Amino acid sequence: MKKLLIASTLFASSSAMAVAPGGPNCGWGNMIFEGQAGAGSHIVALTTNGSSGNASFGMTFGTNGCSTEGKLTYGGKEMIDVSLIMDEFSEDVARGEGEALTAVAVSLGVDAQDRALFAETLHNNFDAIFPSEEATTEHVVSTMFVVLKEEKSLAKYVS
Amino acid sequence: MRSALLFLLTFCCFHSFAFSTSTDLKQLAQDPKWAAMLHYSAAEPGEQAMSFVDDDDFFLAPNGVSDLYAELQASIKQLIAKPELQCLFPGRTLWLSQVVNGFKDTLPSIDCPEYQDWRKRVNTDSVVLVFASSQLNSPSSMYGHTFFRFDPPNVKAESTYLSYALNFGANLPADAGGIGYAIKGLTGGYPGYFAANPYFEKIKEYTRTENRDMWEYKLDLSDSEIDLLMAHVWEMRDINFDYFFFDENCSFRLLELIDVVQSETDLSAQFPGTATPIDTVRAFEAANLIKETNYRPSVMTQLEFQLAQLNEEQRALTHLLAYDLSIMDSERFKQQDKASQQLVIDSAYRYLRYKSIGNFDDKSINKRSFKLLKSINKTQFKKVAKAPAPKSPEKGHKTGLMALSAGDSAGKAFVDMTYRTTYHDLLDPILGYPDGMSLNMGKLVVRAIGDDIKLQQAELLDITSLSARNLFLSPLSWQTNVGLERQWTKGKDTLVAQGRAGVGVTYELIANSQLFAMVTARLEYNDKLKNELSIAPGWQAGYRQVFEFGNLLIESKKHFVLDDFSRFETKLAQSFDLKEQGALIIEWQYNKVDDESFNEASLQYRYYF
Repeated sequence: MKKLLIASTLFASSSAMAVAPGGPNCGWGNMIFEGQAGAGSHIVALTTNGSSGNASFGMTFGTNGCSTEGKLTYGGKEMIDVSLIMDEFSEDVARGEGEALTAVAVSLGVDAQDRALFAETLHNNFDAIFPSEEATTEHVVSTMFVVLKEEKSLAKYVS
Repeated sequence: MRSALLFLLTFCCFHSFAFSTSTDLKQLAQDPKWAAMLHYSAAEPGEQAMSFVDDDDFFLAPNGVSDLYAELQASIKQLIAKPELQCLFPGRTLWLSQVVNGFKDTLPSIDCPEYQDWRKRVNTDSVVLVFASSQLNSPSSMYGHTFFRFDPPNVKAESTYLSYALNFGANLPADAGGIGYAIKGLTGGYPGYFAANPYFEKIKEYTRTENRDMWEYKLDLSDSEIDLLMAHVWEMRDINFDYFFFDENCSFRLLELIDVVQSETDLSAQFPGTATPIDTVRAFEAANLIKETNYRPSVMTQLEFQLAQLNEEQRALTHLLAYDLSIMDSERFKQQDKASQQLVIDSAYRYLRYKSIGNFDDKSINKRSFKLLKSINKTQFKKVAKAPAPKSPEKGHKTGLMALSAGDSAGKAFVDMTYRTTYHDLLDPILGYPDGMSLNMGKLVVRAIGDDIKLQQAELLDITSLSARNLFLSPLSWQTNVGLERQWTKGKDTLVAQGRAGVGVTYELIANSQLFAMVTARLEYNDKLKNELSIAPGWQAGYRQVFEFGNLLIESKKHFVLDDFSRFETKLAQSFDLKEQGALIIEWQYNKVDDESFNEASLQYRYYF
């Protein structure tokens, strides 16, 4: 598996998303370890199993300002909102397997027979996709697309 | 004459399917599935059956909340007259089409794009009951929680992250917090709604933020049952039920949903009172509805499992590594074999992620986490094993308790009868329960001694949480107890009202044991005391060991009633788990009050139901 030098392509592709998908506050600036809120400090959760705010019935995400329903589009492709699972996703990419990684593959429509290659490709490019703990979702997703485009049998899923 | 009129009326209303007579419909209105679909409670004899739904939008007849027949008539009529209602009530529409002769042919067909789009997106192939288990140090989780997950086809090969989780819970105002809100929540003060999230949000919430293990029970439902279930779930959108902690709670509403599609199991009727989440899981099991069980350990469980595989030196290295990454270059680290090195790095990473919960602004934790993650990426050569499933919680003892004990107190024979509403104490069989947790509500002990029969104890609440401290974790242990109990006071056996609380530490010196010590404070109302209402500081210490056959508990406590006297008590108890929902306990107790002392010994049989 070849590793990619992608810094230059990166800047080119990120301009494609001048308007953040899902609304302006949708977590594209989220970093890998963000969003680990503490255990509910509200005693009220003791008796109600409830949560503040409006109950929703579709699959909306009330927590990070996204107006989508669990999926985003990136470059016209619909996929899971990675900003909500950055922690889990980075861990799975580091290990080369896991449910978060599979969820991203499934949401991109990657066929079952290509998923091992998908996982391996991301695993081998961990350093590019996650250059530091301050890598944003925007960087992670755009780099992932670049990496996948370079892999012949995976390119079709991101173009 | 009257029946002729009725017939005429019926004929006018339902002209197009004269074969469903009013008698047929009256009978149909009593069908358990219809009652389940309207969320009617099982009525006591002589009592008016009523729906639990607290929302007028749910009923098509003005008196639909208390009249099954009226609602049935109105539904049939209005679904035909106003076809757009079919999009709000697809469950009723579907069921009526199946059971009312001619209804389907009469029903104008209509597109429900919003509903159909939702069904397509949720794309349910199987239904999973999820139990988020209790966690020792979080009172809000102590009884556990249940909700449903709807999986698309082929979910095993894919990922449950994107599955749809349906949860019934109270909807709280944004500023909710504090004990007043909690009490309001107990008593139906908040509206309850069904709400949905992607399952990964639930995984994060429970296994990461709250450190609770999750159990996933795949349900044995047919395609047509799932179809009706989903159609009915849509009807519950934005429908309000007032939320009650004990009975009309998260778990009870799920039972009702199953009753809609499987009326023969009649799950909700099994819980006329408290619906303890784990007991409802048992009801699913007893009805043979559970096809498959999957365990999802919490971040903490996984970390503890990994640490248990390391030796002391490796655990020390793990802890050092979490704070100082240069440990990886040290001789101490390099001396370890490759598999252990990997496990040390992996455990240090998990430990940091655990530490970051509620502390995610700590940039240095994130920095070190990331470096470790990079190392995981480079050193990954073997899959890190997942923590194995312990005995699943529905296999544990049931939560109701009746007990009979016989013994000797200060030379007098006695017999105690005990009833406890719920849930689990430090002597009950541990399998299926979190270790070190005691959570009891509503315990009553009546004692027959000599010619007397008297109230020995009436306990409202009793919580003890013993969590061991170690190199990695430093939780506090604590206890609280409120109730009436007997205390030997100035030569008299006296019923006193008391509340006490304590906080302290626990260590696990040998495996499966807890050595604990707490400082305590007690408030007691006792008319034999110098001050009827007295404060008594004190201490409590003990040792508990869990064996395969039962639990050993040795504990001593002392409290000093201010300006008066002191009490000291030492207790030694050993329980033996019995096969069929039972346990035997032998207990010996020494009491010293002021300068009087006496012993008590007993044998108790516990039965769980």
